[in-house]
Amino acid sequence: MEGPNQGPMKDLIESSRLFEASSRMQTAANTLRLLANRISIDDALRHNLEWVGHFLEEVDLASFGRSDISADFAVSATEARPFFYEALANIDNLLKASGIENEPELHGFLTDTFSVLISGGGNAVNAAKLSLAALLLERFATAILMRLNTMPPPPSRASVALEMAI
Amino acid sequence: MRLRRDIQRLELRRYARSLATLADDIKQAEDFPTETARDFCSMVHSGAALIAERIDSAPEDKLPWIGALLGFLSQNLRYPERSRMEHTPWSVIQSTEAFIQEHVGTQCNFIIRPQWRYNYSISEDYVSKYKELFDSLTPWISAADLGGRIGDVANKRIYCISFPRVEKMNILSHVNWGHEVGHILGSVWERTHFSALWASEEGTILARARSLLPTGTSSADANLKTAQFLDKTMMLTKRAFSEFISDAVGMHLFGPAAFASLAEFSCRYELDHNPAESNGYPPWRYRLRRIGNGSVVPITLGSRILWHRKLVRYIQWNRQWEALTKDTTDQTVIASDHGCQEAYRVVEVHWPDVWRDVLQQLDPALRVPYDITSRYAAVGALIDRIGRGLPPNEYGRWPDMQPALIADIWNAAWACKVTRSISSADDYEDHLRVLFQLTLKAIEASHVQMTFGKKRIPDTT
Repeated sequence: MEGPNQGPMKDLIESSRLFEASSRMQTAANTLRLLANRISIDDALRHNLEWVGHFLEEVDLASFGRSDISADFAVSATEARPFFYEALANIDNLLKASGIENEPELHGFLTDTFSVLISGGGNAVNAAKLSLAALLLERFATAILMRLNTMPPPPSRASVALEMAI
Repeated sequence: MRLRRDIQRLELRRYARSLATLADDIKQAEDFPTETARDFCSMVHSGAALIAERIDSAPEDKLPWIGALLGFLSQNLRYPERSRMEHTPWSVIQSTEAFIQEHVGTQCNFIIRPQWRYNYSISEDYVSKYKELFDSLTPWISAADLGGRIGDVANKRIYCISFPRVEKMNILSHVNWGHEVGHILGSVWERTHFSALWASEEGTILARARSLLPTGTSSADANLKTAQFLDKTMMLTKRAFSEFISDAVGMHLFGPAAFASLAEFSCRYELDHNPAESNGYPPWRYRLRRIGNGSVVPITLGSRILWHRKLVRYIQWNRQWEALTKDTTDQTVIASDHGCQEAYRVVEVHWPDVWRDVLQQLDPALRVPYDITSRYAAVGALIDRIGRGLPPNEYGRWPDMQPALIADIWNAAWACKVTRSISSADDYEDHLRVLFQLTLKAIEASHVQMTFGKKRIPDTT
C-alpha cells in the first residue's frame, strides 16, 4: 500500500507473518540444539517445532504438491522460499563436510529434518544432523530478519522515474 | 560475546524507555483534529514501556528481533506527530473520517498526515499488526499483554493516510482518498481471500517457472530461481489486485471525479512501465483503461439539454482519455515479462469474483455505485454556486436547502476545474486557489449541516 523505496523496517507492516516465521525458526534452531544435547523440551517448544516443520514443508519445492497447499502458509511460504534456498546454498560447504554431497542425500537430510520438526522432536536423528539442521534454520531466520531490518538498496533509475504510488 | 549482549540489552531498555517517553510527549499536543493520533501514541507508549519492563527476562537469542520491533514502533511515531492541525487541511479531516467510516466501519480510525514524497498512500491497520508482531515473540511477550495495556484501543483499527505535503490545500487532488479507502477494503479482501486464491494458482505458476529454466540448470540453482519467480509473481499479483481494487472503489464512491484525479495524477509518470521494475505498480495506461471502460457515462441528447453545460463538457473531458487507452503498449510490456504475464492472467481470470467479494464488505445500501446521470441536477446546482463565488455545500430553494453529498461537491468542483477557459498560468492558479477554498469550505459546511443541521431546526408543524 505504500509507495516504492520506503525506509528501513517499512516492510514489517506488510510482512508481520514473515517476522513471525523468522522468530519461530530462531526458536526452533535453539530447540534442535537442545535435542542434540539430549535436553528435554516443554510443550511450547514442541508445538513450535511442529509449526516450523509444516511451514518448511510448504516452503520446500521438493515436497510441493504432495499434499494440499495450506492456504494459511501459501503466501508467507512463497515470500520466505528464496531465503530458504539462499540459506541452503550458504551452508553448502558444511553440508558437504557432513557427507551430504548430492541431490538425493540433500533430499534425505531435509526429509529427516522436516520429520523431526513435525514430530515435535520425537523422531530421532543423530546429533550431528540436528546441529546442521539448527544451523540451516538459524541462517534462514537471520536472512529474513536482515531483509526486514535493513535499509533497502538505493533506488534504481527506473524506480526513481516511477516513484509514485496511489 | 558476553559484553556485546549485555550492552545490547541495556541499550534496548534505554531505547524502549526513551520511546515510551517520546510517545507520551507527542500525545500531549493539543492540536490534533481527532483523537486517533492520541490513541496511536498510547499504543506505542504501552508497547515500548512493556518491552522496557520485561527486557531483563527476554531470551538472549531474541534480542535482534526485539530491536527490530522497537525500530518499527519508533518510526511509526512520525505519523501522529505530523498529523497536527498545522500540517493538514484540518477543516475537512473530521468529515473525511466520517465519510470513510461510513464505508468501512466506525471501528476504523485514521491519522491523516502529509509526506514529502509526492504520493498518496495508506498503511495497513496498525493495531492488528502490532498484535501480530508482539505474538511473534511469545511466550516472552504477547498480543494479550499489549491488549491489556491499551484498553479500548485494542478493539480499534488505526490506519495512516498520507498525502503529498505540497498538495495540502489541493482538495481536488484529495479525491484520491477514495482510492485509499479502496486499499482498506482491498487489504481485508487480501487477508481473507488471497491465500486461498494463491494456493489454487501456485501449481500452475510453478509449472511455468520450471518450464522457463534453461536445460542443464543445477538443482540448487533451479530451486532458487523458481522460488524467486514465484515470489515475484505473487508480489505482482498482490499489487495489481490492490491497485485495481482501490481504483474501482474510488470510482464506486466518486465516479468521474475519481477518474479525473487519477488521470491528472498519472501525467507525472510514464504510462507503460514494467510493473516488475516499479515495485509491482501496474502501468498507468492499464489502470486508466480498466476504470475508464468500467464507467462510461453516455452523453445523450437528453443530457445535453438537461445537464449543466459545464457538466457535459466535464464528462466529455473524461472521455477524451479513451484515445490514450486504445494504445496497447502497456499490454506488450506486460506480455514481455513472464512474471507479469502470469500475474495479470491470474488477476483478469479472478477479477469478477474479487470485485464481488470486495463489494460484499459494504453495507447493502452502499453497494450501488455513484452515478452522475442521476445526480446531474444537484451537481449542476453546485456548479452554479461555485460560479457565483459561493461554497458548493448545499442546493435547493431556501429555506429547504439540502446539504450536498461529498461526491457531488467533488464532481462539481472538478467540472469547474477542467472547463475553465484559462488565459495564463497565473490566471489558472488564481482560479484554482479560489476553487480549493470554496471546495474545502463546502466539504466542512455540508458535514456540519448533515451532522447538526436537522437537530437545530425546530419542528413547527
